[in-house]
Amino acid sequence: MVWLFDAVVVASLCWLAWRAITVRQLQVSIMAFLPYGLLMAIAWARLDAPDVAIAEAAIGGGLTSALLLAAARRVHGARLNEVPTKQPVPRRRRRAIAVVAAAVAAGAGWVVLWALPAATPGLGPRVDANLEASGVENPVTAVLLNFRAWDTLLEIAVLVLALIGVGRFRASVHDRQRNPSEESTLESIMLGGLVRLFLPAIVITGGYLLWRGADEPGGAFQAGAVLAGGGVIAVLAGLQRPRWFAGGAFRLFVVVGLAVFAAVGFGVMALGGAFLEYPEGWSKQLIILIESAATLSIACILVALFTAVLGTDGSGRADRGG
Amino acid sequence: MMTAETLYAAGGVGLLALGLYGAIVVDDRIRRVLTLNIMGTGVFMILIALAARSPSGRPDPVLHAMVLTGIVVAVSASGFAVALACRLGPPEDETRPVHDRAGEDDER
Repeated sequence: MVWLFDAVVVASLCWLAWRAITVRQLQVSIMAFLPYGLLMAIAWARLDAPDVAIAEAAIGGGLTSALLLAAARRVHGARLNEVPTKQPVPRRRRRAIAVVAAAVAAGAGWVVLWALPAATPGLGPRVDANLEASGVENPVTAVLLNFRAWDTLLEIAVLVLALIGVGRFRASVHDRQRNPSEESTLESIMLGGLVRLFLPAIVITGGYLLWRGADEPGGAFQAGAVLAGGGVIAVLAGLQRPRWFAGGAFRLFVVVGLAVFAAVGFGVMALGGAFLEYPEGWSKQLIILIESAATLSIACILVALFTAVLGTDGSGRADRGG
Repeated sequence: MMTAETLYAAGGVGLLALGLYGAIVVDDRIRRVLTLNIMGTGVFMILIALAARSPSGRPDPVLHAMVLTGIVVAVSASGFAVALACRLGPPEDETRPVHDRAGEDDER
């Protein structure tokens, strides 16, 4: 009977994707993308990929939708809910594009379902053989932070670059403007209170994912994503950031992951190893050190990307075009 | 035989194609970022389904690590893309009739 569950999940994913593409109102489209991300996380949990599922639930389901919604508000303003009157792409052209997409699907489907071997251990046995030497027991963490640590280092560099790209590196984590008229409404009081109640639990969840990630599903990316989710709802609830967490301190948080990662990489070279080749017996400590720093950076960068798109800064001034 | 992996792999292929179709068809820049994300998750789903083919029952962790990296890069790229979309300023007036716009939709 479990195949029925899988079939429903896959069918729902395709239907939500179709809705997100074809529905006329942009807001409805983004609203379809949110359960899409959550269902995707369920699908990946079914495929024995809990590490990826946790990250997708926090990022694909939550953060990406929040980013899209904030951007849509900013670009379309009050007209977000309106049905656009603009003529959609002509039917004939849509058909031609559908044919192209179907051809791509046929090609990809042939490769995935027929050309590739139906059962292969892939690189799994080689990871298992070296797992003991990696310092951690979660094979995904071992790949990310040890065997393929180069990729992860560059990935964190990509995050920092994205933040520089949106022009938010020099700025601090910005609070949403406190609108005095909003201040006293019941909703804002309740939302602020609820967020204050949830935030400690979110921080503990993030820390748990980071710590357990060495041996169980979890790790720096999942922890950073969960913390970033907490940061986003704190921004939306209009909570003030602590005074110490501004300017220089924020910039330090943004680069600490990359800096610690690179410092460890070069540091082990000074001890005679290759770049990022951890000395024997120190792997676990170094991995936890790198992951802790990376978690802070990932969380800060993702929240800052969101506030950049939300378009408010500390003074409450919109920075469009600035 | 239809295993769960093949079902999800086929679903991933379908989402890839839907996302590709959407990315070309939609006319809103924010929604285009969304459709590219659908395309990306389709690819991720294919990779995860491929990782689950292992005969030992233990999925391939290298593919999982690749997808994890991909998710984080995708969200930062999406953030960058929508930030650029905001900088472009307000969209052209969508209430204008189509025939006012020279050179567009000439195929009607």
